[in-house]
Amino acid sequence: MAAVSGVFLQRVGRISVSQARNVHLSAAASQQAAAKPERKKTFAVYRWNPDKPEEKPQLQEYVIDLNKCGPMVLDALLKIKNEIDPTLTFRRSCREGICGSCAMNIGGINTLACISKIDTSSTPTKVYPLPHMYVVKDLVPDMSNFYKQYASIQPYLQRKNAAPAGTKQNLQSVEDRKKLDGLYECILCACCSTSCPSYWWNGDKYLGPAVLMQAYRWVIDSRDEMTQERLERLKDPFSVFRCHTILNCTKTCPKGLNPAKAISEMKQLISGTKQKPAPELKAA
Amino acid sequence: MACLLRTSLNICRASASYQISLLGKARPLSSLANLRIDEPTPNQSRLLASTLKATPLGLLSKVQSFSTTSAVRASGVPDQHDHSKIWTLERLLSIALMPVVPLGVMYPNILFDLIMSVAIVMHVHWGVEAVVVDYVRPIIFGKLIPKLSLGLVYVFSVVLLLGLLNLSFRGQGIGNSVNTIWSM
Repeated sequence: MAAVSGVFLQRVGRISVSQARNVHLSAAASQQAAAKPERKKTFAVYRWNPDKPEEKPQLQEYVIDLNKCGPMVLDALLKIKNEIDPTLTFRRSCREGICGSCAMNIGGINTLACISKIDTSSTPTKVYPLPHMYVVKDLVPDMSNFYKQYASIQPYLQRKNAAPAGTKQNLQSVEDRKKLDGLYECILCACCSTSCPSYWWNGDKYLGPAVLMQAYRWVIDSRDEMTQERLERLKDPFSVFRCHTILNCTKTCPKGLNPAKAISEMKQLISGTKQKPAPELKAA
Repeated sequence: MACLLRTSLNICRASASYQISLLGKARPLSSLANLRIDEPTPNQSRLLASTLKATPLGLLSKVQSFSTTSAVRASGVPDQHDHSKIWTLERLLSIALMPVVPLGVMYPNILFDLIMSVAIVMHVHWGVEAVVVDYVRPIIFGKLIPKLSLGLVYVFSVVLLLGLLNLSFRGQGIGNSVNTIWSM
């Protein structure tokens, strides 16, 4: 180090001592950064190109230096797309776990790439699209069935003799409002639904945990008056009752919610073993 | 693939430190070539129409119409029979089995044997039926095989019931049989 700085002092001999000292310090800092050993990490990413349907999907490996990458898997994917392979396709938007766009299967777990830390161990991290969904391209799954199912539960407030919109408030007591906590936070990323074996096998008829939790969110809302109609629509053997309490949904939820509990409440409400409590405040 | 490789290699010649490994097992869940399109029922059409009404038309509607799955496969359409009563009965039966089976083994007699026969057959029937409905499903096996399989479940349950009744009336009884196995 002394020798190096000596060379430096010789080179910058003409400038004053204080300036030379500054140069010496910054040179040392940049040398330290350069000397930092590369932390190589392999990402094996699922690739499938719809333009070449005859080609089988494959895992493509990318090696990046973790020292030059942000901490999250999404940072790594963006780095790969920016610097190595711009054909890599995935959804992303908010990069802070509130939009649900970057839901994918990372290291065998359905989660959001933006809030899942890169596993710094030497084993390659495998990144797949959400399991058992139709793939549009690479890590982009086709969510249309999921969204259609969400629409089918009518996820909006319904009242029987509603005053014209904007004329009256729909009141709700603090206690009644608390029942929606843990339900309304769902961002519909579909991590839970696509981790559910029942949804894998019968995704055409079983609604899946995410949608059922939202169904429950509107059933249990003290202001909603269509409770019986909502429950009536779900009493068939598939919509709700294909849930076998496997609990993958609760285990995988990146937002820490509990869809399995919501489904069990739904089953009890539908079978009449439990009743929806009367609203504490008259809503309007 | 070769084309994709070439473009990728051109782009990242400076840092070409990646390989491609072929994954033998995986296959695409879908290809655009073989779309499955189901005709929507009137109910579905109405739902679809009301959903579409809310969305702005133009370019967005074109984008939204792109899908590799059929338009509406979702929910609440075909089978409208009420499953909630059966579900309640299943739960009650499961709870009842917890005292019934130990009692039947501790105090073997014909009454407990009969209760156990019926309860166990119902419990097993619903369990196996759920497995068959889950795994032998029309989307994979077509229309006929799932129905045949479900029929086989009923045959299996009837045979099981007859076997247990035979054991209760003409053999040494269910409780005693368990005790015999235990004493061996």
